Amino acid sequence: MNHLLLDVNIVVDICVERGGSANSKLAVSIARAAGHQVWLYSGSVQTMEYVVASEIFRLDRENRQPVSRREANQQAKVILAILSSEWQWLAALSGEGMVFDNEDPEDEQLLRALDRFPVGTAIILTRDKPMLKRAGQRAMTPEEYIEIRKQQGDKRSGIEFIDLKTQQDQLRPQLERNIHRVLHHGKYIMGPEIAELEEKLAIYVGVKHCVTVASGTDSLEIALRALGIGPGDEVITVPFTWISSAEVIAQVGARPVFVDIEPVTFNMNPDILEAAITPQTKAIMPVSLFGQMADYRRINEIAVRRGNIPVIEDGAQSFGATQHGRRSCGVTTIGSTSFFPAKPFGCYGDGGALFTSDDILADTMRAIRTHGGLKRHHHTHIGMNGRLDTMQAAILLAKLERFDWEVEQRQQLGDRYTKLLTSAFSTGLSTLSTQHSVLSPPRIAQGNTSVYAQYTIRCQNREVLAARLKEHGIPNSVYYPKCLHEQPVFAFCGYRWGDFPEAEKASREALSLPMHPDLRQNDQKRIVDALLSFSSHDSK
Amino acid sequence: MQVTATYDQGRLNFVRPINLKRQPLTLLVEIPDDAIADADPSQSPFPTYDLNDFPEAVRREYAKLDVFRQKAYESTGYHDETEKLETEDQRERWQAVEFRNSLRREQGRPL
Repeated sequence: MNHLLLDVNIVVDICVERGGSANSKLAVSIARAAGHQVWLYSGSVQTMEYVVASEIFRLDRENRQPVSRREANQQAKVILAILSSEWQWLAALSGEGMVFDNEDPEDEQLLRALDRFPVGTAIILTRDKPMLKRAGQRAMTPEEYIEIRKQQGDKRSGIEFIDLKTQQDQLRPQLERNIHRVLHHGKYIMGPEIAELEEKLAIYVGVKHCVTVASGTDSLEIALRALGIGPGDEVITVPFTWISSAEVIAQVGARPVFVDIEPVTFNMNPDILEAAITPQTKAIMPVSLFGQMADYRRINEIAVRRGNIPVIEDGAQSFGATQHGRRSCGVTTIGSTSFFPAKPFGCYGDGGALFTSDDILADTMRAIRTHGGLKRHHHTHIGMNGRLDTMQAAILLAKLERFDWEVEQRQQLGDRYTKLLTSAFSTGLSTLSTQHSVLSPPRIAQGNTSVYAQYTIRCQNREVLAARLKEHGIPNSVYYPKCLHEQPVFAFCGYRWGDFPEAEKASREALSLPMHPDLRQNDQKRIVDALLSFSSHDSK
Repeated sequence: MQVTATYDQGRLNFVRPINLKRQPLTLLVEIPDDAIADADPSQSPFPTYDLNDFPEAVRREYAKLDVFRQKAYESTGYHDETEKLETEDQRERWQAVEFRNSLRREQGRPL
């Protein structure tokens, strides 16, 4: 029961002082303290405004402080505006308009609105007996709610590993407006939102062209195809990454060649890159892992020196990060990113984008994403169905409004994690049990900013630590438990355990902690305290 | 003329709206003898809770609601008497919501 939808009589209870007000306020306060959501139904705006005003008018007269009806109305609007800035507005959908064949249209609207929520997660809070009877278990009085929550006790709201709900709550009006715009214009493929998003993202990254595509994985494949890479070719990447990075190389018929990572940044080690380059090397595809860019100054320099080998940044996790003032996806031949929902800049489904300032490459990528042709029924390349849905572009445009703030929050939270962990080490807690010690927080290379797609620490006996954290209610995740050269599908590459010692070590030590821009500082402290408490407990 | 009215929580409401020429207005009201209660009118029909029985987080949220209400009351005020006049639109809406309220009172339902 995470959602309370307030009937008008409860809203009035909270806005004025009358019988029942105290308990209505208490019920809502209990919900908010537990991190649950309180909803006002936007279809009831007019009713709320005037019923609150009429009660203010009545009660002020009874208290011998008469106000005019207009003053009462003004007070009602002010208090409703303040309250509704704290809670969520639930949109009135078209299916909740045709209610006039019902005994009570006002009640019917609220009952239909409940259908939007997963079963058992939302109730209507009301004092209205007919509503309570009609809704059954889907409604309760404030007193019933208080009693149930008292019995359940003081349950702390869980920490989310990645919290998309709070983000959605903050952007709800923009998201709903943009989604409905698409529904109304009906251009579900390559609609106006696509061009708008591409223009804005190209400016954001600092390149001439942005080509949105159906997914991060598709973006990598389209980049390779646009460069003409295929059978007989080699593409250099890293073995410590999500499978897409190497999967697409094999998909186009080329051979993945792995280069080990730097232990501190988890990114491609430029010191050993050059040794992996052969006459068959047709692209270098480093991954900007966990939100921090690889050392593209050195990688680009090597690529140029060795015959202008194209560099493709796999920036699936680093959109928004910078290196010496330049943005991720804007520093290589082609930049690629993912809009998977859990990414720093994610949509509500699959999505991705490519970035380049090369006009020919841009047009080639545009053609490939649309079955190989820029003009209808004229196909110049072997392409794919690789377009971003208009609906996802609309969602991303809404999210773009908050993105700069989110990047700032991520950086502050990442820095704070590191400060909390390293200050604990410096106060004598660094002599932790070697069995369970936290070895190191992530490090950001000089000149880099990170968007902390993941906040990844390194530790020994990771599985035990991960389990202990979960017992403390701290979600965590392992990225990545196996290197790509360990995967059966890449056995044909001929690598063995021991060929990439840093990647192999990282795959056994890396552990990611909760990270998202709405992570509360007290929750972050709770996470660090649990980490340290576990470690110091085992050191005794 | 005699009209039917309902009484609810200190308020007398005409069942069918009537436009009066002036207010306030003194009326003669006939109350059935058996409708007059002996019980202590200060007794609340709702159970009461001690806020101290709830965690600090709940008390903080509760206090916020009172602050909001106070802010709202303090933020309104009219310096120009003419601003107190309501528009025709607002008058019609008041009548509509009074009609809604009177129906709900007849049905014994909260506003």
